Amino acid sequence: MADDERRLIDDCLAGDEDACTRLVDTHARMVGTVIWRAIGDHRMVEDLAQDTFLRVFHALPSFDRRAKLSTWIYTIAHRVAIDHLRKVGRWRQEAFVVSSDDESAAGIEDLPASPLASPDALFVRDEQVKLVRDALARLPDKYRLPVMYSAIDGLDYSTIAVMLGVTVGAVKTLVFRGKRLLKDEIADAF
Amino acid sequence: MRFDEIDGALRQQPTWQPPPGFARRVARLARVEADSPFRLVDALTLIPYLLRDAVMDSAARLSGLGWMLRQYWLLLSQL
Repeated sequence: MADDERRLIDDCLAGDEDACTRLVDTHARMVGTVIWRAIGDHRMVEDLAQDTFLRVFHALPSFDRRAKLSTWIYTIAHRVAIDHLRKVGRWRQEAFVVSSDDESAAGIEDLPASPLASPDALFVRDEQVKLVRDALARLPDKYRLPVMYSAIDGLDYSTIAVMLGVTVGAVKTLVFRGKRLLKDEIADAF
Repeated sequence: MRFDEIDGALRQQPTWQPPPGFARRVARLARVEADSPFRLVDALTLIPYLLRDAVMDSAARLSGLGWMLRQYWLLLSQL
């Protein structure tokens, strides 16, 4: 852990409001984005992001400093989002377990180490974005969340693995399988 | 649709931008929650944020505002 981060945590623990503000400022965009992608409802993001940081400050005294602070915060954001989905009855799966079907997905080795889209793919049309968004909503959460998270700039597979409580290999498998299901969903829509 | 087009569409999902004052409000709320004994002056500084939420509110945000007001009442009741 960097000295700056260590000092920031110490200042927060000492009750320094400016330090707490800096911590929230640094991570708010990513926390809100993780929550938004997970729940799909923009109106609830601010309240749940606030709830995330209150939990962060509450648990900060027990934070293991060998871990990465950002990963720990994003994991809490993910859990807050799951709690919300469960509360509103939209949580459809129990664990991010890789099944034998997932394991046999051919071509997983083609996944890049860091999920990046090709420059050409950045110019997709609005209707394609909507098509993908609608198809994503129909995917099981087991695949939907890894696919969603892997598309967030700044979230790598190792961070997502900690958030979901699985191995990096499992994340790659779930993302790959999820994208194949997404492709099938879109093809079925025509 | 090709895989790279799906990746492109996924990357065009919007990112969240915190509203102005979000970090300060959350930090203050966290401090108020952590303070023991409770400090009235900190609680009073939350009023502008509550009013801002009330002004900006829509039906969808009422539950969040209700939660904050409940927290506020609980804190005041400790005085």
